[in-house]
Amino acid sequence: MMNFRHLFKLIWNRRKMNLLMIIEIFISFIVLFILVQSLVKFAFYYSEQLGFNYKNVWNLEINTNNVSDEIGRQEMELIKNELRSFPEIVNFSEAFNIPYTSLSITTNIDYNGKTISNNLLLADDNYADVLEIELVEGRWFNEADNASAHEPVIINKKFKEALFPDVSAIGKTLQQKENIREIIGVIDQIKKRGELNDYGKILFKRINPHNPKSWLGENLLIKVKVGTGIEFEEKLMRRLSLVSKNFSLEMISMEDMRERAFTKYTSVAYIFGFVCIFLVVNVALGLFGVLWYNINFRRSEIGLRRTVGSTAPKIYQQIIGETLILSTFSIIIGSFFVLNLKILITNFLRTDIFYTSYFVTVFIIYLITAICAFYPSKLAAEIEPAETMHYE
Amino acid sequence: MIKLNVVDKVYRTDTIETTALKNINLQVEKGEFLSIMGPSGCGKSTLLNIMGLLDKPSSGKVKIEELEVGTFGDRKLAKIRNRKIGFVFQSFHLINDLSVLDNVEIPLLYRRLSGKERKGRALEVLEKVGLSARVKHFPRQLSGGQCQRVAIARAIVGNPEIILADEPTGNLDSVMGAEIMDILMKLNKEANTTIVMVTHDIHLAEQTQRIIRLFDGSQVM
Repeated sequence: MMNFRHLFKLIWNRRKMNLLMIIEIFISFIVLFILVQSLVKFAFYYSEQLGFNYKNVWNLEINTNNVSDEIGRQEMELIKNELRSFPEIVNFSEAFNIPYTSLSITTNIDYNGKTISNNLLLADDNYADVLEIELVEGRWFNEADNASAHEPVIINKKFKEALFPDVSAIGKTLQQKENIREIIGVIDQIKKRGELNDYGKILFKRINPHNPKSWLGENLLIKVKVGTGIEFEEKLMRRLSLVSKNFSLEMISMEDMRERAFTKYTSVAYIFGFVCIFLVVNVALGLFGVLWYNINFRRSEIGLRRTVGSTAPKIYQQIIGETLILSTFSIIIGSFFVLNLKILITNFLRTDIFYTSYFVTVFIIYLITAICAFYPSKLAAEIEPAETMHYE
Repeated sequence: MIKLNVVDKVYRTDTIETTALKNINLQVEKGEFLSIMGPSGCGKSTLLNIMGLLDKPSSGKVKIEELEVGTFGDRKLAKIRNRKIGFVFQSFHLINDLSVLDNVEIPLLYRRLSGKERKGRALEVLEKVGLSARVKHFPRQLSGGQCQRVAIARAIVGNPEIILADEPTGNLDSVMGAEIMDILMKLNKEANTTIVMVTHDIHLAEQTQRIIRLFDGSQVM
């Protein structure tokens, strides 16, 4: 193996000549890190559980057309009564800010001087059954909550970990402005915006149809029997339009909503990925060109090394070794940038995603530079000392 | 020490065939200082390359210390070049981005030696060629004569038994040329190093023990 100290010395003494290559590899590192972190992030998120079951669930989107709360509630109950009459419908739930929508209602909750920002979701008593949401502590909303002293809320595990990492959250009260909320249940994680997103801190408030002050949901999540198809959807919409005089209704399956959410991310990822790969390929070609030029520039040196005892494989190793050392310099500079970004912006990326992306990027950079150095190294190893030593 | 037996060297392309060496028989004894002379293009450097195992003959046999090297692969040839042969070239072939000391150490990089040993040996030979005060200098800071002395130091740092010098004074003025010649003579006499030198300079050649003359690739008397 080539002497590393000698290689370092050679590279250091040629630092001006190598600067261009170091900058090129550094740029590739940064561009690649941005691309890789997106892909790794999506891969991590996708591999984690969704927290609910979207299959055989239809979303009836309701536009209330600004009717009064009273009329809206009456009309909502008429729709619900109609839904109950269909044997194809297993269950349904009135809700607002449902999964696979990009809507975000951010509220702040205070507890012991700590303020937690969270996404507020509204759901009635059937919601957990319809979406098959698992509870890890306590229970879901039910009729018993009609008489509770404080408004009941349900949080997710991430919310709980932020406020009560080591103790049960059940029965704890939270303050939201002047209102007191009592935690009655903790659900497992739930990805509100779909598979390609991280878990957020979620807080559920109850939609209580018997309470005139309660919010009116703008969605009815309808769980249908397996195999229920488009014919039923048409029949259902016809019937609902007869009972609903003021609302505008639109039906979409949650599978379609999921598909749309995916398309939104994947099309952005494709464009972004294409641009990044284009940049990296350009940089790789540039690197290849610089390395090739350097080999021609160094024919005398390589010839000399072969003359004084280097074998062709050792020349090959030397050029690859030099390129990898140059990559290391660039990676060190690049690492300084991305690690500082991680330190400065604490929620820039989840730590596991950050480090996986970092190591994947480092691996790819070494791989790209080794591939770029492969052919020039081969050319260098093929240099015949007899051809190069007689003239300069 | 070096034996060439009926050596031919022909360079072939698709359309042209050029004979560089024809029927060369040559034996160089241990401790001998030999010079090779002849007009440009007569095959002097080709002959030196074959003796130095940098090139292979088209036919004929080459022996180094009774070892027939014709069948040797790259690794074995590289080892012989590294252990037994030192090379000095007209244009020095120093690496400009390495210091004098680092340039001299290069042949030792291909041996299993510690950094300390390499440095020690390099300093020793630099003292022999009178460049102890220039170890940290870079080639561009040296005169032509000093560069060639560095090249000689590099050639002898591995204690080779043979030195092959291809017009070592060709780029130097007469005073510096004489200095280099003195160093080579001294090496030959004191260390019993076998030296084969290609030169155009008859005065230098006359100082050696034997002169081989080449013309159009053939050895002439």
